[in-house]
Amino acid sequence: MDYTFQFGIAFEALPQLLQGAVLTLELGILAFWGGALIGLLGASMKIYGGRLAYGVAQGYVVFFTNTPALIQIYFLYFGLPEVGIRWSNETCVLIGLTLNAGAYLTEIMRAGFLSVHRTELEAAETLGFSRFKQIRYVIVPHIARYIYPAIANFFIVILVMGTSVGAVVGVDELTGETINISTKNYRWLEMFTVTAGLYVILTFIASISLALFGRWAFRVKAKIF
Amino acid sequence: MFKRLISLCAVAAMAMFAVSTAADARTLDEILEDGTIRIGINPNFPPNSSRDSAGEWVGFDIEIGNKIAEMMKVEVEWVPTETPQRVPFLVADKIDISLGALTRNSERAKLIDYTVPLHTEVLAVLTTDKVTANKWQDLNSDEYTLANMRGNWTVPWTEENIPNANLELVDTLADTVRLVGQGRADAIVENIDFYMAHTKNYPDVKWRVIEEPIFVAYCAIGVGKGNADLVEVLNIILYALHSDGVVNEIWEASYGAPMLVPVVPNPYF
Repeated sequence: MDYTFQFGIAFEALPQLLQGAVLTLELGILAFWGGALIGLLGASMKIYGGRLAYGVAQGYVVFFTNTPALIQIYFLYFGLPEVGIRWSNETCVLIGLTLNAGAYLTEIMRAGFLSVHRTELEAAETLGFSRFKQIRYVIVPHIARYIYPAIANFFIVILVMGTSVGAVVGVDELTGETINISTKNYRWLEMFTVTAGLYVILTFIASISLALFGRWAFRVKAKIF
Repeated sequence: MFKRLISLCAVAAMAMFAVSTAADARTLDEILEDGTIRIGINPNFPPNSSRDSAGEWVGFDIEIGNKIAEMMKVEVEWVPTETPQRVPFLVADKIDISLGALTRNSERAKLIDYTVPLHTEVLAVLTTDKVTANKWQDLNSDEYTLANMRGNWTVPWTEENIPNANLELVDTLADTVRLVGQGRADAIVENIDFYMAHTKNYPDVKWRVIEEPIFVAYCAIGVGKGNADLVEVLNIILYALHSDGVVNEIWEASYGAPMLVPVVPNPYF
């Protein structure tokens, strides 16, 4: 083998890679929570919203779960300027990932809604709870516990990894930063090996944080990995 | 939990080891014995290489690749390689040679070998009438955003020589031109010959080229490190193609104009 590995060059680039890792985490967290809010709204519309609301939510879910996030981001970044809307690349990636996550989380949360025991809802109705109060005090605490492990898993698998598509439209998250540095030092193998390790660390940190948060907030014994 | 973590770390370590394995380049004998040469080309790079409406590869690199294969008496296997993938594909022995306007520079030469030059490229500025700059140095201001592609050697060059301008990096030539066409960026500092074909997608944009070129660079064929026999054969083929005027003919047919700075053939390699 003629190739001589030089990992020193890759480790010298760690400060830049860590900057990219921070942006990856920021995008992942913001898109995840944005998606969770959309998911909550979407699930509510599908279950309680009547025919029109159901149709709107279903159309959104079908569109965003059947097209790749990359194409959605491409549309936002390169398509919208043709009609005069010009958002920054980071904004396009954030909106794209949020909408993509929202569609998947709509279905995950819908499953959570349907898991609520009818007797609990009847009790809430008997106590005179409005629909909003039923969602706020009965349904959300229940589904938070029921679907939290699935949602935490979704965050790890889809969003931390999904942010890497941002590199295609010039966002310097971890993958983009790796490509940038490799362009200068041509040490692709070393750079991507180190980056792979950083992604593992990143997902490990995110996994532990989500597990601890789940135990604190919802008393959920979420698994780490 | 920790069993899972240990398992995951083990898998990650094995994956990294697998990813980090560089392969020996196929020798000339192996290529001849196989009867096929694997040529890396950029799939979205008109007029160098792209697919026509029938799905066939066309362009300058395709013609050159076919000539090389014909003179070596082998078949061609075209391997699409985006700009940032050219050197890694050679290092990993995914391709035998790389076309795609691979500019010679010393950093790349530490990892791969080059033939003699195939063609030149003139670094210049492609912009629009919205930009009043008349010299490339005028772009050195944070009021300007320059579009470029990840993987181009001109990216670090721009960071060094036009440090105050903002850089927006995308993945393809078409996207780079689109950034300027849509007003996301102000100019492209690159070998603009390669980008001109994409400007026709924006007929309402008043494109202009800053007259004064920055400098001339040389693009050669990339070959796996230490593959001296293959380099020697390719050098002899290229000398013949340059001497017979074939390279310039193909260039003119592809670009609609002669190479701005033609390669002078030299029989001594």
